[in-house]
Amino acid sequence: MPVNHTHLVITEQTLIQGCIAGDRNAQTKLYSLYAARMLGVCLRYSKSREEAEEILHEGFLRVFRYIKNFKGTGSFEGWIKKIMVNCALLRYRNKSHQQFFASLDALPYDAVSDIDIVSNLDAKELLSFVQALPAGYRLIFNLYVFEGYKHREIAEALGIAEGTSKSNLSDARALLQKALTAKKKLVYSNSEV
Amino acid sequence: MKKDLHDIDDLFRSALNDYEEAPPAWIKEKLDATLKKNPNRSEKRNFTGWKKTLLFLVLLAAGFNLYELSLLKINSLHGFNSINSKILHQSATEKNNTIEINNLKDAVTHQEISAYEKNHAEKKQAQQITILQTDHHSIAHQKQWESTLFSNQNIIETNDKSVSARGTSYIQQNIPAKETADYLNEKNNIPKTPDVSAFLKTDAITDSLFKKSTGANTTKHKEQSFKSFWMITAYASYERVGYRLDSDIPDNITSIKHSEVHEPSFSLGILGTRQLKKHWGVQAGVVYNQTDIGITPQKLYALQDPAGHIAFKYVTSSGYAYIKPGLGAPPAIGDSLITTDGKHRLKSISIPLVLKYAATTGKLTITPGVGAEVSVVTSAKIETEVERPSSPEMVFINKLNGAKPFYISLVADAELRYAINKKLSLSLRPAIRVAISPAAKNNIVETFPKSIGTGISLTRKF
Repeated sequence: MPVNHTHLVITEQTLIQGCIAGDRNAQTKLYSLYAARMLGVCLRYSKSREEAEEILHEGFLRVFRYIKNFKGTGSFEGWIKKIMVNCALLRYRNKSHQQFFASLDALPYDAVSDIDIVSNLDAKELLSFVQALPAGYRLIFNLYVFEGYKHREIAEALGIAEGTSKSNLSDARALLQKALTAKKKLVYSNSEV
Repeated sequence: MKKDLHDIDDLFRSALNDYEEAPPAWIKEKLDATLKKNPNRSEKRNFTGWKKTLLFLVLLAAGFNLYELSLLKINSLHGFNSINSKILHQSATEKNNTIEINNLKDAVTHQEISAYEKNHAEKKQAQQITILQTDHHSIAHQKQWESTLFSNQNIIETNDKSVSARGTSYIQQNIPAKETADYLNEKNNIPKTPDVSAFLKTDAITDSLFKKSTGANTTKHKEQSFKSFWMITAYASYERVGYRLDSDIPDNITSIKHSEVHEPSFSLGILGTRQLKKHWGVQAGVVYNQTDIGITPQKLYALQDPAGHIAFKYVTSSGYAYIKPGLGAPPAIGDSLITTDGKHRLKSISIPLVLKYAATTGKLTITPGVGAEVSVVTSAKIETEVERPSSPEMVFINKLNGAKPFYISLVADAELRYAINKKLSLSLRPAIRVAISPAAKNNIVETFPKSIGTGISLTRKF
């Protein structure tokens, strides 16, 4: 005789409805589902892990507060990610612009054109390079490369000229290239020893 | 070199796009503590039943209108019959002394005529109709009830029986309504009127006519004794206006809320109330609203507007506009501009439809009401100054993009009316309005205006 098993399938929609109703279990599950991935996003926009964790906390507070506004037109994960990015942008908007953008000449990296070493680097090391970028460069690099923003959109979001966005992206790439080369030199020197 | 740079993009994208790290436990604990302290379940509760509510209100209003129309129809028929009866009565009165006697001479026996003429002569000075009634002549019966109909106040009793009662009874029991009308018209040389015939086809109304003529009011008639009436109200109110903002991006909501401050606003209106029943009425009219919003200094960025021009985008809760200062060099994309405090004035015309319930004690009447209103934004102007190196420049914005042509609100009020006399009354009317459709949609936020206020009004009853 066949037995009907009722499986509790918790869909994304169920979680959203639960969070809208203020269900703590649903909030916990939603957090568990997306927190690690969102911390990865926050880390890219921050100079340190501590800062990323603060952005993550603030972001999830906003997610739970404004989850009613999610209309289901796009992916829910994309919506959460957008909130995290906005939290990061807001954080930098409130800071002084004095240290927002740095001069390329002032950076410690040596310019080398070879980037073949990158395949040997893990994600954590690459992340540290991004985090080491000056705040403005980091934001522009993230918005352009990971979020797919156009320079016009970046200019609008950060309140800068479109040309500034282009030049800063170029500088950010150059800095990352330097960092990769420096890493290569270090690897080579270690291997020779 | 360029290829290498794009390789860097791909390298970092592939390595970090799906990068994950487990967050520390303190974040969850802190989140739990914050959520426990401030549960967010009602931060932005969308009103999902507004369509049903609106449909209900529309149906309710339509039902009342139909009811009102049916009452008007019956009243008009009563009125028409009354006029026609007067015509018939007048005509009959004029001809009574001649036609009636001549006709009767042809129809009844000499003895009956003699009796009729004798009675008629006795009452001639008062211009009253004399009618003979005999139990064995049907024509005499017809003359009897005709007379009852035409001059019910001048009936002469003959043969110790009430002509009125018998005539009425005879008609009600033996003569169909149509025949009655046809006979009367033919008898008095009055052309048949379709409306009269149609009216007289209605047995209930025929009964009502005859019962009225004999002074016998029915229960049904008593039930309809309340006469609906009109009231016209002129009012002015002081209001605190606000809005609910909606957006997928919370920062947009925050930035708008932080940059705008609502100032006290006012409304002026003329409302007409149709009191349909003792307690129930429907109110509609025209209301003018003026709302002022203060805008804090803004930093504007130059963008390409839809027409292809480079201009500074100025965003408000009601919509946005592109401004292009006349002084200085033309802006380039990304240029910024600082504005001073701005003043935003919104003007709108609203048409409310409210169902009112009136409860009266002495001279005081409280009339709570619920309904809906459609608001049309007629003007949205912004005045501000832009800071220029040389001198500040005034900027006037007369049209906003992203605003909807109209929006719908739910309305609730509770009018407290004091009767100065039978016709005039003064009222205090607190009211609340909550928009259920956005006033601005194609903007960075959807704006749902709301207001709470109180006003005074003067009402004239008609």
